[in-house]
Amino acid sequence: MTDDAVIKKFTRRVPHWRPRVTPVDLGEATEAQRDAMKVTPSNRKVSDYILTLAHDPESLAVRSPLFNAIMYHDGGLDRAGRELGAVAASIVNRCVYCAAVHAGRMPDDDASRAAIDEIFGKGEAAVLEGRAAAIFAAGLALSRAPSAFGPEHVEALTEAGVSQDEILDLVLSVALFGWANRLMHVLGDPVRKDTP
Amino acid sequence: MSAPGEILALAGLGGGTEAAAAVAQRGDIFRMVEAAETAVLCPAEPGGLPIPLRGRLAAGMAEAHGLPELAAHYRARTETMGDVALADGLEQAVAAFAEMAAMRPRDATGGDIDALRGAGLAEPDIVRLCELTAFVAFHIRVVIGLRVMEGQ
Repeated sequence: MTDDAVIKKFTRRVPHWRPRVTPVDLGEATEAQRDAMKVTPSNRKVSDYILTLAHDPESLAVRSPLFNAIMYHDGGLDRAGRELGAVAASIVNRCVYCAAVHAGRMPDDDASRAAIDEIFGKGEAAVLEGRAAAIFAAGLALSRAPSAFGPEHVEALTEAGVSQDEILDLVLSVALFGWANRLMHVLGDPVRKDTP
Repeated sequence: MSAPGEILALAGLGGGTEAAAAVAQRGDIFRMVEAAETAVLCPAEPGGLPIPLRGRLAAGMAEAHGLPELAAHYRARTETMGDVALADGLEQAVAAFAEMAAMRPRDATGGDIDALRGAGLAEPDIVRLCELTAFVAFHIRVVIGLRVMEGQ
């Protein structure tokens, strides 16, 4: 195992994730672990990431529905805004895997493609326009440690037409990726797909 | 207290504010946030990470972000639970890891995980520790976001 395989640069191509701890062996999983992983007779393909998190089934069981509620509930901030918040957090925390996955969930339009090109090329120094600029700046600031999120970010979002409800959705998606990045980037490495 | 009420209290906000109205519309999400807090802070199976230790680690992260009320909340939920001292080197290794996860997660490497393993932490406990620090990083940012939204 060489570390040459570890991907350090942001990329649209979703890497393979290589865990730094031994994932749970599906054949030996407890009932609580199988429940948390949602293993059913028709769903027996479980990723190494989920098998790794299954070491803590209580957390895994509650996090998955919360993740879906924050990222994919109806109404509020649009898909592009929430995914851009997720990408901003992943840039600050340098989670190459999360950035690739969530860049891929941005809408398939010219504006989103241009924004991701700019972000993956320049990182935190990326220059975006209008509403996307306000969302990205807020996402970067809230993700820093300690957080640098301040009234100027709320003001810029409000001026860009983002409502209070939508700002809360952005806070939730950015914060959620402070969580996800600390699992994905801390517990494993993004590697090229053909790496064992 | 209801879940929306709880998160507002942690952020030091009353009802009747704009942030409170936004939170009220996301009651299902904040109920799940509370369940997630219980899972990392006071789990039914704490494994090799005693509950009061979890509270101390979480409180330290909140304090590093200038949130003494949140730190006090974590302590209040955990300090009366039975404590078990970890071996000296292990408690230090766990605290150092939590500090890294809180403040410099971008710099995380395999060496950070190896250090925990080398200090004697079992692999399931390494995942439990990551879930704890990751959740607290989330919780801190939700509280900060609400305070800033409300101009505090």
